[in-house]
Amino acid sequence: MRSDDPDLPALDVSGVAYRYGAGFQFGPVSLRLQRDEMTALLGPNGSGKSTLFRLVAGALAPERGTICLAGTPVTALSPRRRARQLAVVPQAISIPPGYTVREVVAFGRTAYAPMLAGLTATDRRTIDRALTLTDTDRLADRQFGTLSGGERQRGLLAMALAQEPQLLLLDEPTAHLDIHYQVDMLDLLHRLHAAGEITVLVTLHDLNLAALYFPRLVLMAGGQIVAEGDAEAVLRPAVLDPVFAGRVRVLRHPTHNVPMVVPEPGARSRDQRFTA
Amino acid sequence: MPSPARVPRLRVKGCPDAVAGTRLTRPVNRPAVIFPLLLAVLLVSITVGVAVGPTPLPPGRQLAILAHQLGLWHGAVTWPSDQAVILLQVRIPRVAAGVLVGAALATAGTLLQGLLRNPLADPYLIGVSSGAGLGATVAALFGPIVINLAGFGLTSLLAFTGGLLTVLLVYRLAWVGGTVPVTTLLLAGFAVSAIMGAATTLLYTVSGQLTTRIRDLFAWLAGGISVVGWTQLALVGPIVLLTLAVAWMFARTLNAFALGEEGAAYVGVHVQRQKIAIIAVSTLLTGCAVTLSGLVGFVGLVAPHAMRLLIGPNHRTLLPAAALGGASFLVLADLGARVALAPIELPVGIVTALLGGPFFLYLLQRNKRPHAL
Repeated sequence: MRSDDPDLPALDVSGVAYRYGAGFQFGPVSLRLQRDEMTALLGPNGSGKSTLFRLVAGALAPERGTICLAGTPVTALSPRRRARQLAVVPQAISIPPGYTVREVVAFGRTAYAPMLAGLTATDRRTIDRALTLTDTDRLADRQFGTLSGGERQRGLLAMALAQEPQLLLLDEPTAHLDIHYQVDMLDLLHRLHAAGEITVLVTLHDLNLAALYFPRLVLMAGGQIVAEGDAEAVLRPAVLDPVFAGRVRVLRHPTHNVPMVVPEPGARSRDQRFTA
Repeated sequence: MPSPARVPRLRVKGCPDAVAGTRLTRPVNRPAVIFPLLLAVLLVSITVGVAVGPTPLPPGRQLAILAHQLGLWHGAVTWPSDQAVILLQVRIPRVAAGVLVGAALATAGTLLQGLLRNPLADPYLIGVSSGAGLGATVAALFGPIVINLAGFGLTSLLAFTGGLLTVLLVYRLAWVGGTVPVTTLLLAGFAVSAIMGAATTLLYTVSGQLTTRIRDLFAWLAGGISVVGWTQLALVGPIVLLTLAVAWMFARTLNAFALGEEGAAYVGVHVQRQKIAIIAVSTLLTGCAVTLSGLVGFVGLVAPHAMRLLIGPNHRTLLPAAALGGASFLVLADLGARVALAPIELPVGIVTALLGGPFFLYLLQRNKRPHAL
């Protein structure tokens, strides 16, 4: 079933549902990513985007529906085989002290490790390339714990690239970063995407970064996909108002001319500001 | 490697000590220096451990007797014949047992600390010690019955069985919907240990039989190498050495566990399967150590920490380093136990705790930063 047929979607989520206990109901959700696509998954807290992310990553098993990677159901893949196809850059991960960046990037080669051996020549080459691609080669011998937030995020991205995946998932890659590091991170992601055949799915809080960097946005709310398409199609008041309780306004980016979303304070907070 | 001048000094606001003293980089050529050093230390420990005792056996004499025994040297025998017996039947087996126990406990501790990402994990964490203690106590109830299986008495056998069964029980109890979360594992281990401990104390209290043997039992619980000869070593030695090799095969998996269980799964680790395997390997090593030496504490906690400081957390190098370091530590501690109050022999567990405890506290003081250990 699995092949390198370029017509097979990199990711095919169809009719997937999941339930946390008796509470939040997720789905059914269907989503298809063509090979080489770059997609941002958006939505407010509790919208289900993290659930979808973890379902695709394999951390959760769907209750109903199927998730296929290049034609093969995720559930039919061993963790080892899955890790060679799909790499995840998790959010805010803490790594015990002492590991160097190069050692952390080497974690990404676990799925290729024969039982006994250390790193092979191929492993080393791939690690070096991942370090170069993410511009972390000069940090390679630094202890991971001494890196800044942005450097850490790049190191984890290098680890994911060392897996040589076809599909790359990033969970809030810009969280807790200052604006210039957010932009650096997404620029880097774009360069990577341009450099090699890789499908990218990213969860993002920031609607504006999504508008600037991603050709396709998927907006979730209440465990459902409520809109998808380019920034013009998704970042419209008619779409956003129900999702964000009417607390946003849509403007245009002064130089890139894409929709930008700014917060609209509630009446009460505005009053307070005026009286302060 | 960036020169120190170009590396920015890191200061974390609010906790000035947090990162300030941390080395940013780690010398990469360290293993090439550290392994020969560790081997040399072990060799010296073994030589001294064999040499010191009521009948001193200096290294030259050790070599002469060994060479003669192995047929490598046919010169005149210049030593009393009892020295050969002491060397071959008493000292070497005892020191060999020390090497095995130290290496096994240090490796078991390294495995569990890596797997659970918990610096406080030691080989006894999930119930081996309480189960083994109960087993040994039950054995003492049978007092006069003498069983001898490949040199092992009833105490060792029941302790080994008790330890293994307890870990199985803890693992089974911690099983929640197809997975074994670390928290439940630790809590189940804690609860089961408490119950086993209570049962052990209950047996002490109600059994008249035990009161006469309580001293022996206490010495066993405090840990002491009680090797009678080569038969036990011939059985346990190969098992331990083989299991150490198996443990080393988990090095890269253990490294990946640094990402947490979910992160480890993302890079291709079959988390539940590997977790069972690693716990099994660690338990087997601990069980073997217990049969040779009772409950020796602190080796499995301190040796991994000391070696992690020396050589870094990468399990490819950490596991063998911990085995070598733990072996040296236990051989020296056993030597201390024999000579400190000679002719009275202290339980080796007292020595390891007296040396290991302060050392652990020293590490704690040295590294006052989160996750430092």
